[in-house]
Amino acid sequence: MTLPDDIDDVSRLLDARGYVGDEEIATALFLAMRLRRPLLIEGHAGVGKTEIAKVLAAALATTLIRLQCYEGLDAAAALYEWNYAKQILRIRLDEQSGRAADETEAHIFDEDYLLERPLLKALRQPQSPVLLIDEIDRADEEFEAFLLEILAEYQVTIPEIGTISAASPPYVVLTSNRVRELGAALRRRCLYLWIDYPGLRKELAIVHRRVPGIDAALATQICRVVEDLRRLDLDKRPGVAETLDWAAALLELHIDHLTPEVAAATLGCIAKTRRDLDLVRRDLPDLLARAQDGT
Amino acid sequence: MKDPLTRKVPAARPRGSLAHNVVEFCRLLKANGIAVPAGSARVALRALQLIPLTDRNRFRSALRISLLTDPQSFALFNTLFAAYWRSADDEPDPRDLARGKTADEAPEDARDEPTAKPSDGALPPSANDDPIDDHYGSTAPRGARVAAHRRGIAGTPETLELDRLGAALAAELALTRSRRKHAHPRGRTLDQRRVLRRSLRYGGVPVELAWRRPRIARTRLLILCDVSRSMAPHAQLLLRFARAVAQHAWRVEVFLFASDLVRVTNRWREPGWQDLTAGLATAGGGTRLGDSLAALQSDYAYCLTGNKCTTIILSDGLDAGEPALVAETMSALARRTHRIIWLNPLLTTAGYEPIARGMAAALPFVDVFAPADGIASLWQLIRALREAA
Repeated sequence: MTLPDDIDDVSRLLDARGYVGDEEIATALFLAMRLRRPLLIEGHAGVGKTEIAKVLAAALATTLIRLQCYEGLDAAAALYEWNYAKQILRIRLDEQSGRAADETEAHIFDEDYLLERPLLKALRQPQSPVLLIDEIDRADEEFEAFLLEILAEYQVTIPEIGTISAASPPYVVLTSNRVRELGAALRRRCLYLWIDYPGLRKELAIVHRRVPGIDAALATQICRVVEDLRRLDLDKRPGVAETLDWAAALLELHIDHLTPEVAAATLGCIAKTRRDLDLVRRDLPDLLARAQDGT
Repeated sequence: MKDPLTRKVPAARPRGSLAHNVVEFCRLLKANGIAVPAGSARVALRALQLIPLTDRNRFRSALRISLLTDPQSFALFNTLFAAYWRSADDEPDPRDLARGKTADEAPEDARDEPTAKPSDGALPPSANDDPIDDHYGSTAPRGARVAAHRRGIAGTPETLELDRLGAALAAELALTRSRRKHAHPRGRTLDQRRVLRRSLRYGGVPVELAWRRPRIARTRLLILCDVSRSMAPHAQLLLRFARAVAQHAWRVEVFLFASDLVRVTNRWREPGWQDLTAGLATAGGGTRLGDSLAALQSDYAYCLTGNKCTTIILSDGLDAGEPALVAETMSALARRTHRIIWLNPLLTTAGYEPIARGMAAALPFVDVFAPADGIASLWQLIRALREAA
């Protein structure tokens, strides 16, 4: 797969994979691919950050390697680990055959005893993969610092083996929900894309694209209600993912019109804490009335 | 281009090279308090070589993607972009700057492009929208012209004492264990890598074992310091205390508030940081805790890091705002952080009771309510925390 020639190419690629993007997203992806720089995507939960990496991999017809970050994620889980059991067996075998200790040591820190984790795997692919480092803000600062070498040079250093550089550098996409602010050093190495909640028109387009067969009036109603919900003081504001869940749920229930009863019964799709449920329930008649007026 | 900011902004030179104009634009962004990483002008130039310069929106997107690193500065960026890369009839647009062609009608600048702005579009105080000409102005809070002079505080006995206090408090609050493990002789998980290394000495027999255990998570702290006029006698001490704590905790977010909320997390190292308080206090209007907390939750929600974050509020609770809003925002804060410690300098005053309306509204959500009128009372807080643990 050759790289896209211009931004319109990227827009077409996104569109062909069912991703409703916009100019800014297409420009960011285009520059990330052509400049070979990691792309840091920030935005609220559920606005389609992770999806971008998946679409990118599909568009480039390459593999997607995903590293989900969590607190306490360390090099052993992200990069590589030695296969200790295999090493011990080898030592015992060498012992019986009377081999010298330093010879054994040279052996057991060989690549055969190396367990590849996502980051190392991404560097050793024959064809440039898409490396998705998801929710980097969940990992701690030590891990962030550890990533710098990989992001800047596309290489890692393993003390026992040496430096491994990528023959085909991966396209790196990092996502963050801003649970924690990322360090300046990491930001400096990335292109930066902020994805906001979509406007009504874009969200409608997404719903039609992802939940085919949904009634147009219902889709409009859903999007209007969700848009209004985002202005409430909720603990978890609904993202596009919640809109899609709700739309799919209503479609599954063969409902073509939002009534207060139907909405109340399916609120679990969009309100995710008890307090939010109460808040939304209280405002629901108003929200529905307003969504109705608009149509 | 009617507001005073954009009128002052220099425009791109029509016959200058693109490189020159981009570098100057980066300097303009920096002068206005936007953190532009070193070397990103080069990235921006490479990006601009890849896109047709005839499309103003893409031109701007490319600059934004390669130069900015956080959504807070988007609104200011857009204003500065519009002012610098002027597209009025008598002025050049980017394509002329690069190629020296005559100007067509450039597409109108989409100031309200939906993807470009953080959700509420409001400019948080740290994104400065005042014209800037003095040195500290570039990071001073909105509306606060800050006198820049140094104050020698380092090394005094009081500072050292505050530093010890800060370390003690940070240690007291650090009670959770991280999931990250480190080598420790009393750990319970085998440190396989070390075991294997050591076993080489014994022909592969793991004679010497090595252990790991979760290390103690360093504290995350959210410090909110009231710097309104009524707090003036105490603010300097409390701020220095906050700074001392910040130096010993892992991740600290510090905000000052009076009528407005200002994030000062990244400003401790500047020589004039103590004067930030002066600007806020003289802004007038008294303390508005409710509004400040609401601003915190809408603009800086990412600072509220759930059950591992302790909030410390330093305030006398003399609130000029709406008590109902205080109660509402305090309850939200209590839900989003592990616990709230309120240090009140008036608490040791004879006859003081926390019945001021704002204080009374906030009190139900406060986990630890303690005095803070001097170093001795701060030590008391630490003893109290130690006993409670």
